[in-house]
Amino acid sequence: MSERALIRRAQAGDAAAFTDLVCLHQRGLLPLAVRLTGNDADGEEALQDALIIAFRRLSTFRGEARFSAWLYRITVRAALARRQRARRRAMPSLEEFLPQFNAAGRHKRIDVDLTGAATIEGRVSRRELRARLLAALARLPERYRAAVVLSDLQELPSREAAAILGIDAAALRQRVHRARLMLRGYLDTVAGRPR
Amino acid sequence: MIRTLTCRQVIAVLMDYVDGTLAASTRRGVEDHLKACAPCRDFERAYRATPGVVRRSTGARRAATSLRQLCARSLKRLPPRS
Repeated sequence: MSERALIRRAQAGDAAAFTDLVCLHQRGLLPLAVRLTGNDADGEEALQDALIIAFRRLSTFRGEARFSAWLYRITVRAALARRQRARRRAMPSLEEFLPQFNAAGRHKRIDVDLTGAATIEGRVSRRELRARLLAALARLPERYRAAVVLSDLQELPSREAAAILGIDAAALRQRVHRARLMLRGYLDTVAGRPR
Repeated sequence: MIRTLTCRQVIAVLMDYVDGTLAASTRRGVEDHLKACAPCRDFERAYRATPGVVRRSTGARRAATSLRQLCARSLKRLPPRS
């Protein structure tokens, strides 16, 4: 059955059609929610929140955007909301890992190795790296987290990622760049190279 | 006059440099800086690697719960239609 037909049936309250419709987009949805919340359990919960919202609001879907983008937008909002609710203690922002420069505009620390991200795979177990990076994503300020997750991790086209976040392409690039800088700096420390 | 870029200026445009969207004159400035600055070369190498490392490391595990199951659970939480 075509996506359009599934949408029509789901809009009429057909739960099976809704499930089929969601499953058309399954490759991205759960990783998106997990990356935005910072762990698997919260990611699953957030996705369930999003699916409930989507089913309830399906009658408002008019087809101006692609259904996948509509569902992504709902999932982003649900995951960020759940992340905010789940935050039991204030975690230090990943902004501390932004590069630091001296008054002359040169790197402040030149006595450390800055190549952590380029060498870390194989030096830290995959399981540990996954856990630490999911936790690190959760420490990114929300605006940067959503941008880098959609753009770099879910690999959505820039135009689509920007539309989901309701920002323009230049703002998206600025946020993605800043998030990359923070994650890059964080990976230096995971690689065991204090900065 | 050719102006030498600082590390801070190079890092500020690194995304555009990596994506190949910098104006030619700025790109040459970045390239000249990278030739002379080992910390920025290391930084750039790690910056390029970062999205791939994070993407590969945080991808989906073999899901304990399928999306179909999650959907079913979600729909059960909805009140019955009157």
